[in-house]
Amino acid sequence: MKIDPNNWLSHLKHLPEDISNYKTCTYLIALEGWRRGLKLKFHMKPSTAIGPSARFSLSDGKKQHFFTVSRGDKVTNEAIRICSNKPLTYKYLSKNNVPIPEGKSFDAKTSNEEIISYAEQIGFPLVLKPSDGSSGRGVITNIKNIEQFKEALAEVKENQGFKSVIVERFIVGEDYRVYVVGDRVVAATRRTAANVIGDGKRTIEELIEIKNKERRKNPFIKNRSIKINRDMIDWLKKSNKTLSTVPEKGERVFLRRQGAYLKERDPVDITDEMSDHLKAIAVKAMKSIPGLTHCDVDMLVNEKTGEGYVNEINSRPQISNHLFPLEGLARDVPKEIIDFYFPETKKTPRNDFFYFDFNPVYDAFRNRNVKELTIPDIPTEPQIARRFRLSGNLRGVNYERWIRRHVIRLQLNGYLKHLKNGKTSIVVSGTPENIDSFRNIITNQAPKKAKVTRIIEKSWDKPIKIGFEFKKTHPDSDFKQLEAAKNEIKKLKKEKQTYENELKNIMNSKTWKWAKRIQKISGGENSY
Amino acid sequence: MKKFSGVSLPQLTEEIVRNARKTRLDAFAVALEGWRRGLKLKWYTKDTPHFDDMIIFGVNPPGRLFSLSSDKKTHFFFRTRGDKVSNRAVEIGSEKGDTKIWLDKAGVPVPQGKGFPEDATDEEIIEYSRTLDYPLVFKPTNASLGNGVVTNLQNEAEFVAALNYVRHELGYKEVIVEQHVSGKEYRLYVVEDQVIAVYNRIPANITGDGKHTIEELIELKNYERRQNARLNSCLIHTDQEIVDFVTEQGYSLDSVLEKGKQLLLREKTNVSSGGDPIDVTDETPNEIKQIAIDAVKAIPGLHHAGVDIIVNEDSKIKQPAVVLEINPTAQIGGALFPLRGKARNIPAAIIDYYFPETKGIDTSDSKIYFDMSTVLEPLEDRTAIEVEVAPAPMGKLYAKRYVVIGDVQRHRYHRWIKKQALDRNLNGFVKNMVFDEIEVIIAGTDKKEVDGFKQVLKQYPQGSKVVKIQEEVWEEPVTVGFEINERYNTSTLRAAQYSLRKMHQELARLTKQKNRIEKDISHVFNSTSWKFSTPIRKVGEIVKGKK
Repeated sequence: MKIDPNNWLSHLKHLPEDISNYKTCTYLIALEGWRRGLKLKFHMKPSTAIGPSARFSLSDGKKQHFFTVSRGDKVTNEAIRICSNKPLTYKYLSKNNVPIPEGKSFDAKTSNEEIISYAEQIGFPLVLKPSDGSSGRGVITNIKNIEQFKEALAEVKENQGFKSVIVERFIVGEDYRVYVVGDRVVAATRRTAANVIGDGKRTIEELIEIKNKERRKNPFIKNRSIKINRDMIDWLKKSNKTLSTVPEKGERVFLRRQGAYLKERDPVDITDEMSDHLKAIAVKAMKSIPGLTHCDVDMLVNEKTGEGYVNEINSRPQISNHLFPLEGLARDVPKEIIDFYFPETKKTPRNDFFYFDFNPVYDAFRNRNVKELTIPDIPTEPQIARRFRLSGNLRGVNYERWIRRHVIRLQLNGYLKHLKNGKTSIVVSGTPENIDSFRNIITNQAPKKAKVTRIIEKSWDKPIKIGFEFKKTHPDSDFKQLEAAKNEIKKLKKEKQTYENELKNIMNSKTWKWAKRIQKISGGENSY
Repeated sequence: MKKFSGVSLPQLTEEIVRNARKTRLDAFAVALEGWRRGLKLKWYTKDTPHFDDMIIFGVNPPGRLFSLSSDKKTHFFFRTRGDKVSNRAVEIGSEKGDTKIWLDKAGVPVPQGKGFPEDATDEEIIEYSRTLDYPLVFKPTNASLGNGVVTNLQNEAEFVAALNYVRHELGYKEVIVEQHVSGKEYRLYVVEDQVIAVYNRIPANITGDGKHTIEELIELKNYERRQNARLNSCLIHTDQEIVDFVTEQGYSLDSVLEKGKQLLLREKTNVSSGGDPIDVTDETPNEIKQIAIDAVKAIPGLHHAGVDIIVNEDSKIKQPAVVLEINPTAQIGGALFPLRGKARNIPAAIIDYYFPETKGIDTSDSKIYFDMSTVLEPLEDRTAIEVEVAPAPMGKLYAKRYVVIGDVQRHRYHRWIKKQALDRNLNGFVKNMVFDEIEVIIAGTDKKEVDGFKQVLKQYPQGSKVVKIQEEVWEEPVTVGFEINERYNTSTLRAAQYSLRKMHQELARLTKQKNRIEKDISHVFNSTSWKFSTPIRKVGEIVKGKK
């Protein structure tokens, strides 16, 4: 069960830190296009919502496509409208004979009595969900009797404030997310209830801890730890287990009931195992919605009978579950999406040597003083990369500014970092000629007070971030730095105030005033 | 403290240009004018292909290359020069010899003289000098900022010395020999057939008060220059040239200059070497203005440029003025922030020329601007090569300052305020004041929305306890967008990193300010006059003791 990053796509191993959830999806699709040489721009959304779902565009010079997270402009507005309305989605699906769970939707005007009587009529277990909710919000599954149903109805309508609801038959089965592009299933993930696999030595509690550690390494679920609570203990009790039970080696212990605690589920890739029958249903489902060309189809699958039902279509899904499965192979959905929008770049070699930084884009849009931002094109000419490790006196002597001038002129990418051991590391990529000039410059020149005593050069094969960054010396102690900076500012402000007061006193002193007056008078004479 | 005595443009105050210095000021002033008229503004790094066909020079960190677009067209700019200026014109402007040939051909008065190529012999040049009347000027063909220009050579001995200095010591082989026209130097800014600004550049100078020494007076003058947006990057540096020049006039740096006496410190008039820009647009006779207009017309494809002239005081020459130089990428800070006189709106004239359809839009009472340093941040480390500035709100801007008192310090509340403001198309910021107060600046073109925001502030759903809201009209400039000026948001690592960067910026600014004040103080204390005056000496001793 150990997470094997080798299952992930090797070209995505070096992602910028601190990118998660929707940001990951946006970033990965943008990155795929950019690495094929397409021009990439980020646009501040015309709508005012402030969220991580930045709009971006890719262009090959002839045509431009716009994307919001994973959805591009080959999906029509009508399709988006249908998908965000579940009753309407069901209408289109059933019209096209796509299997959906039996059920009915009720608008805000329907009385609770009417809804309850319908529930009794189709029988339990049932699912109750809002018509316009998303990502599992307000969904209550496995409602077993009329009391539970009444409670659920009050919860969804009153506490959570959803007006219109759907009542449908609860289908016992696995939850699949199936990504369809064009007329093909390109990735399918089963969302398995949270579980651990025994090693014959550790208790369930210890195994959960290990599992959480692994989850934190996964860009898709790093913020979704499995939390031990009453529900879990009760659930384990049903199979005569407690948190201190030691499961046998290889034994899989489910920690949650299926369909509960949706965020704790494991993404497991099943693209190869999924039957053609089920794949055909997913493709048919997508095609039932006019104007929908790629999307995620949520299915409930009874793995014993092989039957599946479509219960949601998401036109703007997260795709990282397909890219970072906890088990199984990663599926390159970004590649499929870019192939679909820019088929002529299918054969373009992807330049995995470079990536771009995403966080400055967010910083730039944060205060809304920037409307559009263009990422530098990926270098087309062959580049080499080198790491120079410099010893000498390079701190506090304007070395960084001096280096900045040269890297801009030579169009080098990379970074400079002062290391804890007193040395300075400079990683640069550029054309071989420019790297040669750079080597010459840092070897033979330096700003006034700087002194380089030794340079060790090495080749460099890790991906390079486009642009040139001056890295902080201790990235792990930002808070400390912040504190220090705060104090320093306080001190400086005080000092500045003192000086300002002193200066004011002097200005107000007689001598100065007199001198100043004369200056003014003579100034008047000067102005011809 | 005395402000500089020139009158700046109301829409271009010291605060607005705070993050735009030197050549960035030129670009910013033009870009801001276009942006305020509703044009789309984009900034670029040097890596962008858009400027491949345009001559640009210098290191150019971000903030010098930009474009402005209307629905119909886009124009690219390098500092003050737009893409209507042909490359040929830029080339001609950068070669003084060429400029002269073109001007002469069109009948524009220029000093008599001749350019010599790299391989010309010294003898050849000296030979030519004998055909002209002294005094003469000797200068390199293509050095800028007045470097290596030797003026007022009275005889052949001085001429030969100058030749040796420029050609052999400085190494400028391509040179020009010309007549020295004595008179005052002016820079005119011309757009097509109009002179927008004329300023006189007086060489670095001081005026005595009978108390301070020359060295002290230079420092005092620098203090005044620091208050001026254009001049604060061009202080008077006491170098050998100044020492020599002062000595020649019979003084030393320690001499106390007599009251009312103006002492020139150099011959060079460039603002960058300490010269004073003084606006004389209204006083300049049309006859002189016409010469500058003709000069710009004489260079094909130029259209707008700075023209340096000397108004002739020499009876031997017939023309009222001669053109010395043409600068297609002129710095305009001197005209925007003159040391004396009125600021002239060159940016408006440039935008009028490129986008005549926006001529009617008056930006003179505009208070909206954008912060150069945050907008250009993604370009600084080249994570981006183009940045488009969010559009300026069009129409009259109303602004209010609300001080909200109560349990209002929570970051969530501030984020909510930001969202409410942006949802309503309002600009401004929120800032912590004291433990139970925040300051909210709200600016927008819809007065009702701005006034109504007072009610909005009370409506936070999670029930922040607003006790009281004070309001007043806000007259200061406002940046576009909405910022939460929260220095201490350390809730997440990302926020902390962001705050850290902001703090470092502020730290750098404060240090600079502090150093300046420190320097000013130390000079005042060291001045003789101060030593003999008693009032606040104790303070002085404390400060001295500190060092």
